[in-house]
Amino acid sequence: MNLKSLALTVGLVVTASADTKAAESWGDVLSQLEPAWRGQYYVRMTQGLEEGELRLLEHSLESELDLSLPKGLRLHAEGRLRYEDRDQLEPGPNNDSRYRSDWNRRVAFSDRAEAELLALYVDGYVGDTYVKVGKQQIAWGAAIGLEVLDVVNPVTMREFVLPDRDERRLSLWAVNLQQPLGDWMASLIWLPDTTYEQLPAQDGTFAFQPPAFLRQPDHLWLPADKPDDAISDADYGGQLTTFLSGWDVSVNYLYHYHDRPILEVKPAGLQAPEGSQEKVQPVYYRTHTIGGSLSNAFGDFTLRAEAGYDTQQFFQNSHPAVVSGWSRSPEISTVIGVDYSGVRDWLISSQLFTSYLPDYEEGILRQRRQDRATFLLRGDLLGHTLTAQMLVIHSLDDHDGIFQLNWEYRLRSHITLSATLDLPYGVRTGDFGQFRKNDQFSLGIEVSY
Amino acid sequence: MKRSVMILSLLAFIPVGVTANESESVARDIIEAVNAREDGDSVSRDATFELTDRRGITRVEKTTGYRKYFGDEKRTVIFYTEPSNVRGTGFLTWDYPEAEAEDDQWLYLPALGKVRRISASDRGDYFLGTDLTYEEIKKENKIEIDDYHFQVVGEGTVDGVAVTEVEAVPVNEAVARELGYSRIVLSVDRDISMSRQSEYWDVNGNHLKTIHNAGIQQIDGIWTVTEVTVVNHKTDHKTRLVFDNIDYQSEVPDRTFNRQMLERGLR
Repeated sequence: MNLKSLALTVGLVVTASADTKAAESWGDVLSQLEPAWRGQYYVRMTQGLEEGELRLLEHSLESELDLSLPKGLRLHAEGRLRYEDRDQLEPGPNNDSRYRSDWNRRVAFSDRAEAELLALYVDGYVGDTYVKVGKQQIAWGAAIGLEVLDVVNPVTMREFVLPDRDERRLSLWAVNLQQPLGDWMASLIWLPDTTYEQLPAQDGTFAFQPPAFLRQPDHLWLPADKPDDAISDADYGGQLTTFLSGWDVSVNYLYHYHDRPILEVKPAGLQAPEGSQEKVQPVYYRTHTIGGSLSNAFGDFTLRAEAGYDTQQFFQNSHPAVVSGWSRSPEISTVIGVDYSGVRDWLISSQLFTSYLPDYEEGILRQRRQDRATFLLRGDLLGHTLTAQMLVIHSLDDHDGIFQLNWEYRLRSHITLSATLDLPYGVRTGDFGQFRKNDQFSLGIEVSY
Repeated sequence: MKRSVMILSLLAFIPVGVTANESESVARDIIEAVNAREDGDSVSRDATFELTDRRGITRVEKTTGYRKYFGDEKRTVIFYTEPSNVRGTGFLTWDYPEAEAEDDQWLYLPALGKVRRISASDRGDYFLGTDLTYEEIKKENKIEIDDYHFQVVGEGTVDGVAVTEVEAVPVNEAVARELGYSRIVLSVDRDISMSRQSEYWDVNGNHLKTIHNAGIQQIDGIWTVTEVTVVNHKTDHKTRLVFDNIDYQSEVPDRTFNRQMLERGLR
């Protein structure tokens, strides 16, 4: 063996040895990360009952990954690939750029196929302080499915309010700190993600009716005055929670942009040439939300209550003197809910939501006080393999609402079948009644892995 | 006639020379010993539930759970880990020592994103599709002594181990209805003060179910059941519960048992 061969042999051995060590160390690192991977594949088909059209045929693959990081930290990631064959809910290219921050948009492969990052955060403890940083959902309050304190994350209105609120919530990039203070837990949140409620385009199945004063086609739409500075436009707030004499108590504060813009009308002006168009611009406004929640159980009953005070909200006003078309008022919102579980395997739940405007002005296109009620009946049957649910959301003012029936059957450990009937009803001008011709029936299969 | 036969049958199980009062006293001592059995200040463990219906279809669910005593108050938290569509679902229970004090209970559903206060379940309700009641899940092979009158009714063997058969009859009809039983016969291994098998009759006197405790071993010096099989004779439904990674030694932080932990998912 000459020197060159020897050098080559030694080199190969060293390289191989280094590779083996590298592989071992990567293996060690990987095993220390304790990766946990899981997810669900979901197929859903929705038939419109008025027109008889197949409204939606959706394939959705959601995956989650957990990694254990050094110092007790955890990384959690969640994503979704979705293909929707009918393209009727969000026709054409999505409108993320109108409502979402640059760093919270979906990746569109086509008008029908997309990928979305649903969560990506690191959490863990620094001393006693729990820290969660990244894209996440933050749900406040004791009410179920109603907005009083649950306003931290915006929602998508892709299918109006037919899906559960958790399915409609849009995750935001945020910092969430939780620090025990004696018997209390203090949470501080900071949300630099300037993403707002996402409305479907005007040709979408669940497109909202434009306000009456905008129904003439001769308006010039200006780009939205959408806050988008991560620092100066960030939302922030805090929550204190405790357990006091059997009551779960929370006190909440959030300084935030209201997630739905007002459509400000800017008149053409007296000096404008004849035929000049009125200009309309979506504008976002900030508000302080202060409130709290309570809940307690008494035998078979559970009582839940929630109240919130918004320092300013804007409401449509048709009075000729109100040039912008909007009036400003604080808003007081409350929810009282009672759950009854005295019948084995059944839950009966009802909530009353009330909104009141202290500074009500003549011409505002809503009552000073508005009431909505929800009624839920849910049974866990056949040894908890079948869940049957009826939900009614009803406006006590406009007498419109939604009636929903839902069945879920766990066929096997990892296979669930579902059927849902959605029946919006009521007057055409009502929040719910505007979709009274959008009755639909859905079938779904979920396979988890 | 029937009643006389029943009384004679019961008397036949009482050892010769032992009066009914003595039998009750012995039975109560046995149950007190069962309840006094060491079960650790805290424990962490994983559990696999295999639920098999009458058609033979088995569903498998996995949980991770923690239990800790805070003085006489017992706090328990259970998180579902599988299947993935229920992963993260969490139950937190604060069980107070005073008999008249209702448990406080919270439920976290990841789909809801919020911790929800729930009514303490009725003791006789079945726990999430299993054949075990909330009372049995909570008591962990122990029994609320004030709910029953006890009597020794015989001796026998279970899994080759000598046992004493103790009959438990609810103290009144209200308790019987609440628990869902008119009679229980516990086969207690007196060497370790643990029931190895128990038979249950419903409030109408029909044979309802059998609970068989197996895989009994000492873990960290504490006698522990690692496998529970329950057969419901009325529905032909079966529950097999297997415990893994049982640990009585590692410190379980107090914060594991607060509401925020439900949201955080065991952080």
